[in-house]
Amino acid sequence: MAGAGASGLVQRLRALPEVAEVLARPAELFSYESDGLTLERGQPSCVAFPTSTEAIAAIVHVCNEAGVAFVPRGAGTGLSGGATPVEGCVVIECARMNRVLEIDATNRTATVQPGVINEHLSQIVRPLGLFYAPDPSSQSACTIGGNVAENSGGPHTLKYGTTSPHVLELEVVLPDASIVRLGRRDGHAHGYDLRGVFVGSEGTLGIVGSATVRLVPLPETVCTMLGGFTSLRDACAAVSEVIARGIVPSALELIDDRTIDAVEASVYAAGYPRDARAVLLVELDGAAVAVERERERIAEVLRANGAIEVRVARDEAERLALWRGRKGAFGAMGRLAPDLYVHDAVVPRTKLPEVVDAINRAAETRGVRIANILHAGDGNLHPNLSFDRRDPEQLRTIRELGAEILRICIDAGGVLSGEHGIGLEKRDYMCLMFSESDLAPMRWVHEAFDPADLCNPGKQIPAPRACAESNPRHRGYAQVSF
Amino acid sequence: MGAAFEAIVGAEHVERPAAARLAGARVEAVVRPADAAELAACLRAASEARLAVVACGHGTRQHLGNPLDSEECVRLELGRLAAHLEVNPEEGVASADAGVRIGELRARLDACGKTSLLTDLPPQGSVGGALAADPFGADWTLDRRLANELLGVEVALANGELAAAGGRVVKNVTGFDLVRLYCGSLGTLAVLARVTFRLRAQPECERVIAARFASLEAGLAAFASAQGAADPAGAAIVPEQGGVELVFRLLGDERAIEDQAAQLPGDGAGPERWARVRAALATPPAPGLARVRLGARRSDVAELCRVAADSAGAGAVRGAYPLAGSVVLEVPDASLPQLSAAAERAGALFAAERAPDAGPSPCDVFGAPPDALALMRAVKTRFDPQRVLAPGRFVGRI
Repeated sequence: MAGAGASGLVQRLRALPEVAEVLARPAELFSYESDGLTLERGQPSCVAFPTSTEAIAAIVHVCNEAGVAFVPRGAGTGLSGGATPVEGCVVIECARMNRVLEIDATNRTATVQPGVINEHLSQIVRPLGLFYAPDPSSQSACTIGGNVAENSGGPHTLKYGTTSPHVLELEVVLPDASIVRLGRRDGHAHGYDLRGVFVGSEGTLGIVGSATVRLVPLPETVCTMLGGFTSLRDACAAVSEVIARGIVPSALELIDDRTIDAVEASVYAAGYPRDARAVLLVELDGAAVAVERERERIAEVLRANGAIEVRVARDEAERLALWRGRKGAFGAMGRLAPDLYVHDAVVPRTKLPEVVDAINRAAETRGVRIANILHAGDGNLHPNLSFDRRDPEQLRTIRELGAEILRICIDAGGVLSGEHGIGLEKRDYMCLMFSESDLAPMRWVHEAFDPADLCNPGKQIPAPRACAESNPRHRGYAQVSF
Repeated sequence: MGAAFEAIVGAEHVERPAAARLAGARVEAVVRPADAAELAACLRAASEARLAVVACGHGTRQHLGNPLDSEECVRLELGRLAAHLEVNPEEGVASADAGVRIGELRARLDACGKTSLLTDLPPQGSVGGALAADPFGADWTLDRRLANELLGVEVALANGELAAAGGRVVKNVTGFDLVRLYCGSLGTLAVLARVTFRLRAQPECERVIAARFASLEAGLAAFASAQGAADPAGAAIVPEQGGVELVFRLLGDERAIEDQAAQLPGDGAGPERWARVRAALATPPAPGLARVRLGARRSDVAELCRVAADSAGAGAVRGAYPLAGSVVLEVPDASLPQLSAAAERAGALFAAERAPDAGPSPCDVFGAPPDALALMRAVKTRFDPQRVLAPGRFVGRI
């Protein structure tokens, strides 16, 4: 939409109550052209800032009347292009809906607006002995609404799960501008689990007006350990043995030598051993007596698998330092090249060594610098590809390598995404994993929610027949060996 | 119609019972497919003939749901669909055909030191049936939900296609989470053919602690006092010899469990006590009676008990499950509408189980419809446009 049409739309949006601001000048829109995936960009007609669920509904109503697509957005930290604007759309930016509406310490729940920042919620409920468990690496900036849309994970997903099991009830603005509640705040199931389908739907089924989420008691004790290894394979073997022994750490994070080098040369330096080819961070939490025993068992496993160093954080400062390196790793890689493509896929955890080897070989073949961070306990890989987007050849190579990484993971029995979502980045690769008949039920759900296809259109699910056309050999995930 | 099914599964696997009824409908045929392809072909045939289909595993949960919105139906038994059971202890994942019995799964998991929430359910039931019904049980809490353990499914759709959703890894956000949609949908959207689910390590230690109290109120007060002192996997307050018994189930590290057990009221009671708590919820109600669960927040359980007592009499309460925010009572079928209305006024969940073949229900067994019923109907319409998958059985008589 351009010219007079866009101008009229902006005027109508500015006249709505409880819409704090509508940005429409090109310079104001620049930073909304992409989310954290800068490979994909789009130009919205405007960005509207609602302050209430009713205001979201009013904006959606205006968009429906004008036949204009709308794209919800939280903090824009997503990494798969889920919040990339569709050309001429209205971006509905929920960051100013940032109030905590209710905290129920007795029942361990909080009801929040979508723009509440993930980490802030944990800080607010900490004096009550509680925290909000899902902790994406961007948790100091990302919002609960965005987390719901992406079903975000994080290092502690291993024990606590991704966002979905922590969401009890959602107040949602549907694509037809009606407001509906999905789920129940008491957690009881009543009918189809549309709450479960909505979480992770990447803003294609509606927009969160408020969310009631579970809070978790702070553990009595937290213990963070570091294991340094001379090979990634040894570190992966240690991960497999930890899982096989039935120990459930709250986090099992693995970083490779290139990541260690980047971190230690940056402001996030954490004292990781420079002579190690891989560092495994293990965090345990729970009752003190249990954590103490598990710590001993873990140390034994690390040493048995060739750890050259096993270190236990002696106090909170050391613990936070170990995490500072891990959580700052993506920022540290900014030193390596102007742009960073943070990839995301999952494989069966026992296949991590061979998959990482294959990915590294694929990168070397193409002359791409790659550094790996793994939520190893979940089998979740983040190969980080450094490049310069100003060089079209590099851009093409990076896209090719990204696709190759997905093929490697799917062939190993893995999936396209563990926590970043599909968005635009991987939409056309859904056919690697799903057949047309697998995708049909997703389209049925989408049609039920958004028959006009105005709500964040073109994301997550490929168009009908796209699989057969783009990938004639598609076979469906069910055919991949277990 | 029977001939069409015989052509798919073979005449020896189709039965035409003379006078069988299921969920209020006459059973036209009992059909037993051997694999997913036969299952899908059966659904295609039923859709083409617009014949209602009720899928079941080994038939242990057929008392759940509203009466069928159909005069006749086909009972699709999946007990033969049990060839595949693969346990991968290194990955912490297992995959099973829908008809695999929970008892068989339990034996396989015991052999490798693993467990699953599925194995808390009665052994004679099937894996697929359990996940399709997602029944309330003594082990149900906000943290312990079957849906959270389910990683992937292969389903047969009403159009006769097979479709996969989810995956076989423990973390996955690829596409819509249809796995959660199918779980607990009572076979009204699709029929589970194969499922993949997460395994857990068997806990090092299990302790059951039980304490007697004179009344339900006293039991609830004792539970409230114990909160914070322990982190039990389950808790129930059930009638026992004129009073009630507060029963805790603790799982985990032995020393941590011993510490917690010392903080709780009562004495060690052995795992068989918890098995009795489970069993009380696992069998269908007797003819003429209904088992009703009222659900709300954990802190509202005492209020739920009052609602139950006011509507049905204190003697109707069969158990309170404070970690699940639930109270279970047994009432005559005829009193369901009154109890449903009371639950609605209290903002509580209402879910009734009736005796098998109990005839027309005096009210929706799932109580007042949820806010999103229109959206649920829209989803159902797209998955099952001919309304052949257990029509009328689910919430809002979908």
